Amino acid sequence: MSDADRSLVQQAAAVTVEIFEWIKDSLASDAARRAILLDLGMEVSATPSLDLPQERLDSIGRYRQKQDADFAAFISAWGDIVALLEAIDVFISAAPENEIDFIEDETYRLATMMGTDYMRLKHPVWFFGAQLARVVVDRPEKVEKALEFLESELDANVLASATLLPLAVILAYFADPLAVRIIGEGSELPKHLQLYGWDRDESSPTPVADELSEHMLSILFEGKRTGGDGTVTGKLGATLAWIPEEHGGRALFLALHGSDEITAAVSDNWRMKVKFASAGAVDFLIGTSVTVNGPSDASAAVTLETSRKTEQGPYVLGFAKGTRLEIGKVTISAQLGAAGASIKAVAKDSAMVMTVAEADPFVEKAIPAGEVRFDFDLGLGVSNDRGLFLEGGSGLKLSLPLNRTVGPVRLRQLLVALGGGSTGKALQMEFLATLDVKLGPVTATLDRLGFAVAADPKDRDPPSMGYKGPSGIGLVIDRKPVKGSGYLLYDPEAAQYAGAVQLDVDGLTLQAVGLITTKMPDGSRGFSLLVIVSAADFTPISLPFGFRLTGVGG
Amino acid sequence: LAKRVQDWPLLLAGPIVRRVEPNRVAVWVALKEPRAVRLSVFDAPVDTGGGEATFDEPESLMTGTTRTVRVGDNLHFAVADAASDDPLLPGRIYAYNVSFGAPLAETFSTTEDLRSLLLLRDHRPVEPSGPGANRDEEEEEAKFVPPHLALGYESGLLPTLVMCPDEITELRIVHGSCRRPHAEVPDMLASLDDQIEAARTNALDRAHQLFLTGDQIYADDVAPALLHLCTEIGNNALGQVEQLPIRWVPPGQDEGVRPVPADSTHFPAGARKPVVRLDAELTTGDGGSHLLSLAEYCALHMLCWSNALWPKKLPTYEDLFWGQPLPLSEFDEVLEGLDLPDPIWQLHTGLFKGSKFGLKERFEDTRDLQTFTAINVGSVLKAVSQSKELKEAFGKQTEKSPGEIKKFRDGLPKVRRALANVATYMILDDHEVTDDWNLSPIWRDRVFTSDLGRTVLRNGLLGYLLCQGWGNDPAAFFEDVREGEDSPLEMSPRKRLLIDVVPRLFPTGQKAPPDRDAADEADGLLGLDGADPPVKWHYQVDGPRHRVLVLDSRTRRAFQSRTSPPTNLSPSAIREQIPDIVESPLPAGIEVLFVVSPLPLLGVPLFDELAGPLAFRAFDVKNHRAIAGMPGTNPDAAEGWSNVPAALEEVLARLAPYRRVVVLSGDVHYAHSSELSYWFRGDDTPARFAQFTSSGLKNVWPDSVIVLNRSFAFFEEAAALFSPVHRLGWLSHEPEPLRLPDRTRLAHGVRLALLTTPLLLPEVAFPEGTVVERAPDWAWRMELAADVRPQDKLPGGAKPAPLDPENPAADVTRSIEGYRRAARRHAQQLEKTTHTRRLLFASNLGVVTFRRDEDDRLAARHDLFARPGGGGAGVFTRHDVALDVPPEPIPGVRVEQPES
Repeated sequence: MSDADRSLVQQAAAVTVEIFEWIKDSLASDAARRAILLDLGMEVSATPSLDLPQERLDSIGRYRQKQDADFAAFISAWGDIVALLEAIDVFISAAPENEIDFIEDETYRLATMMGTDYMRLKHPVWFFGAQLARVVVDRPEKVEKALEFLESELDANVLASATLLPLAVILAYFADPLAVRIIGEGSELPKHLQLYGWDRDESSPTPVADELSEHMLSILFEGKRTGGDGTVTGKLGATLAWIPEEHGGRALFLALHGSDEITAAVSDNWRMKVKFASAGAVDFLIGTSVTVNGPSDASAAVTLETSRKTEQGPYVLGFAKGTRLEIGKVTISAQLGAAGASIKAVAKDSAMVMTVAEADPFVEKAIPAGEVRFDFDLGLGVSNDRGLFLEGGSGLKLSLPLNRTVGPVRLRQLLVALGGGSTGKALQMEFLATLDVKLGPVTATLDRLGFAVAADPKDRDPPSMGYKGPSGIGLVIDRKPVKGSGYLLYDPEAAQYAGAVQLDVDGLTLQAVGLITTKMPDGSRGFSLLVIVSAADFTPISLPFGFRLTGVGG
Repeated sequence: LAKRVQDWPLLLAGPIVRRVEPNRVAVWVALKEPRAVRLSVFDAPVDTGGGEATFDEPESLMTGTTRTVRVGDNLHFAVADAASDDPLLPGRIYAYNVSFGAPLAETFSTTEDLRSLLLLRDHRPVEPSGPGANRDEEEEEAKFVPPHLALGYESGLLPTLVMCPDEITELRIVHGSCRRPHAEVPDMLASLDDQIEAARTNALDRAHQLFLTGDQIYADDVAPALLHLCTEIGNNALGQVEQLPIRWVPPGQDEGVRPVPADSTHFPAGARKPVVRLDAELTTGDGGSHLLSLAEYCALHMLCWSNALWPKKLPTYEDLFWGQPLPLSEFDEVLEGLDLPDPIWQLHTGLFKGSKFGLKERFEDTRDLQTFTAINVGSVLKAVSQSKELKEAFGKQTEKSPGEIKKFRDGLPKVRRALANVATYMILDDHEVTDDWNLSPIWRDRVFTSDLGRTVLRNGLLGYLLCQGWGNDPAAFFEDVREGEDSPLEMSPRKRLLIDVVPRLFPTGQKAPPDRDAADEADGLLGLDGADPPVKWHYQVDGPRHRVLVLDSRTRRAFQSRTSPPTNLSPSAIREQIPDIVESPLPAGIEVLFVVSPLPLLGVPLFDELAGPLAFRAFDVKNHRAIAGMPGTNPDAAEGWSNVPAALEEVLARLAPYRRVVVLSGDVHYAHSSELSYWFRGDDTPARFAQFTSSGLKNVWPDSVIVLNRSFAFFEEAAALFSPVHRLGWLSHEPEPLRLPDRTRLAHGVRLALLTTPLLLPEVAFPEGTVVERAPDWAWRMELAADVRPQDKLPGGAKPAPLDPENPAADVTRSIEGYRRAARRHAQQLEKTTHTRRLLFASNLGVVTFRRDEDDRLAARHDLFARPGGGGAGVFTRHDVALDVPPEPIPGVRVEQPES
């Protein structure tokens, strides 16, 4: 895997090119252009043509292939994307008899619409995955609405005929080919069985159970372990039925049975794992809420995880030589259990790598290593009860204790924050570390420095991405006879740290104001330190010549 | 891979009990060497004791000696035929021994028999282990004695046969069809052995007769590994290699034929499709591994009846083709200085049609490639067999099928033992020879005018003669040495002529076998000149209470047009094969007429009325160009009796006077039963037909249909659509039987029917307000039978689990807990075989029995044994069809009396 393949930014650029080309192809015909503009709510009597500059697309393509693409290359590629968006602006604004007040908004809508179409057609698994995530988040309201009519047994039967029966037909003819596709030719395939309905017998002693069974769907996958990738083990099965209100439901009944798990390679880089874990039989009633019947630990999970080899290296967000995020083994899992339904992405063996060369001269000086790695595992999930959340955190904020020493640096914690932040951008992501550095008798705590991204899909300014300096520096001095501590806040406007320090020198308490300027007067790299010390309210010290020291500073 | 001839046992296949009558019994055997074969019948049981010497037989009830018929140097067949004036008694078990003597001796002297050949004891090979376990493979193969089960079920006992009982309610007829060795389903013929073993001393519970109703072999769809064995074993058995006539156009001529040896090099398994399609002009959709030579046809039969010739190690892809790349330098050496004619290889393999096998890349000049490939197609295949594409194309067949082939082979000891213990009757269907056989006049013209096509048909029919047809009615073929028999038997001279031709086809030392004159003579007797075949294959068997008419619906066809569906029996064939009951009344005591029709006479209405015709037309639209522009090439859809209503009506009308008719069929790869009531005008009580279809013994429909059937409860009900089917028939329009309401718009089909003589209409087609002014001359109503057994009477593999094991009769309430328990049972049912009440889509074996109710009315029962998933066999489907019914007027017909 090349650096370009590892860089998520470059991969995103590749997708961007594909989407723009998709837009270009889709808008090639007059009819398509008219239909799309009408979809956007624009009335058109004649449609203009879209002229996306090919050289810009090619330029982004070159960026995608570039080894060691740096920030400048990114900015250049960003400029290409903006140019392409402006071409769409021209396309939209050229629509006659059309009063468009917010051309950029319309361009954004067009890009969103076409991008969604692109995802649906080119990457249906991811598209439907995203749809599923939306259902999980929005489910209670939507499901409640959908289940309103599920009153009688007849309603349940109608709903089963409209949902479970088509599902059975699809599974009957596509489950095995899909399994072949997923597992690959030559592997031992799982046995797939299914049953919709029931063989009714007029003389049956169980007419009620027979009647309920007539609209049930049961599915079973069973396989043997063959070892290596694409193996299949154990049995996994499910039975589904709609339960109407008159039978105590208004819910989808889902009973799971089986054991072990099924693991299969989806592609070279991704594996899918389906696992059902329970000490006994378990079923779920999925209505406006999820009710579990069975052992409390029962759960069912579908997991997608990367199966890339170690030598392929992690995915990189940021720039290969700069401060960046390295995302290791990613696992995406959907889980149904007593705690409800959730979808979670976990990035294991990940790291925030800080390149000190990007830091201000003080930090650069303070941290002797060229790069500092902050390893972590991180989970981002969405569930019906918590919404979007960071695993182990509070909402979208998470503090990961590190507590380990690397050379002269002690890593204390990593703060992760997602969502709109102070920048006002729609997307903000911060991985900020707090670390201690020993500077002789002084321990400096560099607070919240690391990697940050701030972006807004509607914004044509390039997103900020990369190193973020500390928000302040804490200082602790502990060498006899001097003891003390203080905190200097960082002022990005003035490029300086400023704050107060209190020192105790052999019983003498000194108040000091510290000022670290990280930009030299001539603009060159370097820093200067100015300390203004004051002391008061201490026992006067007798000085020679009959003087008494009663204070410092002033 | 195949054993060396010197390692073969004397008995290559058999014994198979064939025709059994009170006064004569026949047993079929295939031998490595010529022998006089003597059959002796005794009261059972007969314990021969231990030992490996020939059995010192007690006095037999009947005996007969026959000479083997030579096919090749190492292949000789015999139908040993014993007769006596003192009849064997109904409902009794008899033992028999087959002994062998010098073929030309004036008096018979036993040199070997079943005991001395060690066939009366079990043999289970022990895998070599410990020192010397890694012996030379060839040596190991030579010493390998395949497993065997004692033919008498206990060590030392002679095998037995059982006479049909004197009560129809005690009769037990078994039937099955369609046995494709590499089909991925259990071989139900092997399960017959379990049934016989369970009741082997009980003459009334044992199968009395077995009818194999077609497709006993699949000549056009052999697994490549098995075909490879057939070729090797067949040619070894023949002692020479048949020369197949391959089209070959010499320069400056329009046509020509060149003999090409029928061996694995020139006709490799898996790669025969082009030669089968382009040269033989056959239309099978398979054909990559089609049998071609007589040796192969005989070998496949032997390999399907017995494991005696099966090797220990089955051929692999590498055995068939080549495991290693052939260096290009070898190509150069072979090519050098050769000036070869047209590329024969193209006919064999079709590989040159594209460059996907990488051949073109190996040669700069295409001509070089053509030249090289012309000389030896086998080498070309070997050379390219390391290509990924080729391996994908053939490897799947050769590597996937051995698993099934091995299972098939391992079940053969049971098959061999079962066939040695029940009177077995057979009839051919298309796969005995080739798929689509005699489908239409176009097909016949194509194939009959192709030298290779005619050769394949001849070989297929001769293979059928020697391994199946002869034993059905051996007296009709010939008899030879017979002790104590003076009166000549009634014989068909033409059948005897055909048997007489066989030894002349491959005489020792023949340079280009077969002998041309003998082959031409056989062709004439088999009707391969397009005439009605002089040799007839239909036959008749009588029991004390039943008669069986076995129809040949393949070689006696008629055709309405060049492309329409075939009439399975021509008018003259119907007259010959179904005797007029007035002219030939049934003997006293016969209560039921069985008819064996390889194709179901009464099919599933949904398929016959809708799916078949649609598929027939859809296939023509989509595929007929692919088969040389020949429409009507979907036999599965085209050959149903219902496609030619006039022929079906004629057959029904000829059978109805027998009053109780049970039709046994196969062919369709599922099992079902139908019942039909038939009225002639004036009948108060209808004649009754039961259609019992069992198919296949080891072949079922594609997974897609099985999934549909197993997965969806409604499919069973859908199959019952169009059931019952009614027909009303009037011989003439004078006077017009129907008065239609004025200004009636008629569907095209109804309008056509109203203009046709005889007038034949379903009652539901009458426009509203139609008045029936004259009662129909005949009418019938047919419906699909359903298994009405309660769930708890189903076999374990189908019976639902109890909702509550502690209280099996308890039901659930309509509550979430009720759903929970019903769901648990529903999930457990997944691994069972369900929805088998009407159609059974699993390999199966049909058993027909009879019972009378309290009013003494007779009913036939069709039990379909299956073991889906490979578990124990059980009756997964049971259909009861009344053969006696109370008086009932023709349904739906009320004749308006004219106003006076």
